[in-house]
Amino acid sequence: MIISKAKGQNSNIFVLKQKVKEAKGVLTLKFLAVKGAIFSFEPGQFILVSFLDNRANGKIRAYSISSCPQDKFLAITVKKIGIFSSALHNLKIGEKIKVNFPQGDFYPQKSMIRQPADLVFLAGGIGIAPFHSIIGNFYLKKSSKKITLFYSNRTKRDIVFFKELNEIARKRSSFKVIYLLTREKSKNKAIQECRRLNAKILKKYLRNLKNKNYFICGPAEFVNDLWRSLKKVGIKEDFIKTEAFH
Amino acid sequence: MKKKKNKKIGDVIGGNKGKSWLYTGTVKNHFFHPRNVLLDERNYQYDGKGIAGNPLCGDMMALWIKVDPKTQKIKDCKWRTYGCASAIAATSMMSVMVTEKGGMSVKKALNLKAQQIIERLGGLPELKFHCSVLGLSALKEAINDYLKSKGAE
Repeated sequence: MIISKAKGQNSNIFVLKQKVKEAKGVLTLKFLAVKGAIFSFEPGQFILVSFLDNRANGKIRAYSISSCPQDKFLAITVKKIGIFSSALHNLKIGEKIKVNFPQGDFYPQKSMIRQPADLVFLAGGIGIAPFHSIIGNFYLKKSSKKITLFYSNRTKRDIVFFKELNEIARKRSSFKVIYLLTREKSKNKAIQECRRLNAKILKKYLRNLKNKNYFICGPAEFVNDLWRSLKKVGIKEDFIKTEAFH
Repeated sequence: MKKKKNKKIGDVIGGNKGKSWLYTGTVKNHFFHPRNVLLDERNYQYDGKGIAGNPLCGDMMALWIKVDPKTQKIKDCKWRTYGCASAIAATSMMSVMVTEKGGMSVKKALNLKAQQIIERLGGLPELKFHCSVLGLSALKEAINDYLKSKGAE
């Protein structure tokens, strides 16, 4: 996604402090602000990232924040897919990047959290990043809001935050995670389905599809397909939020 | 000259990958006859303005809205872009969607999705998905601009 403000204000310089390998070709990069504290953000929002030099031809890219507001650092979780993400992967500890203030409305609003409707998150691949922030925030706040995460990947090696998500699910009965693999058959007990996510699978685990707030994030094709499936089974637009990587 | 066999070739043969695609009739209609374009905003009284795009690659979108203060519905939506065919068609369609049937409420428009616009266009090539987001980003900026100015009153 390429979006930027015409005005360059509100930019901050951040310095890389830590790199964590999460899965095949996926790194979490943890940053600190060069000056002062990290700006406030809603879990689920994204930032615009650019390099201070010319290494990605001055391009700007949007990345969902994968850390929680409670964390002392700001993290993005990046899958290596192109020139920009490769440059991020090659960033050395101590190097700096430019970050534009957080934006986007892909998060459960307060009114939505107050509603009795459960939250259903549909993540495809690296589309897990904003959900990691949202789920972590609910966990740290000890919220009892019911959340079901359907997390689809090609293979088991592609699953990001596998241990962490399982740990939260073990500790909190309000959080459930269902893993799906689309290009691999797995006998691992933690993997529930080895097929593409669809309305039928949602129904199998949620029983009733109505009266839920759906959030879909992943590659454009994944988001478009699931949005269509939800519309087909009669879910109203107001109950669906989408964020696509493109 | 020998006439070539009428093979179906795409409307566009895309960049480096040589993929070709066809645009739907609706996309072409909105691209060749874009609705609600505003070339000069100097005399246009608007309630909210939004700008989106990437100044580096040159895709820019400016969008203006008028909102009925009583109903909180969008009365008018004008735009101008230096964007591609898909961005033009998608934004044109979006401007129709937010103003038709007495106008879309501001709240509903904030949750308008690229998927809804693409469906009304009868589809867009996957590769051009991001182009439909440009107008949406500007629309959301414009609504936030309107809400901010309203809050400041």
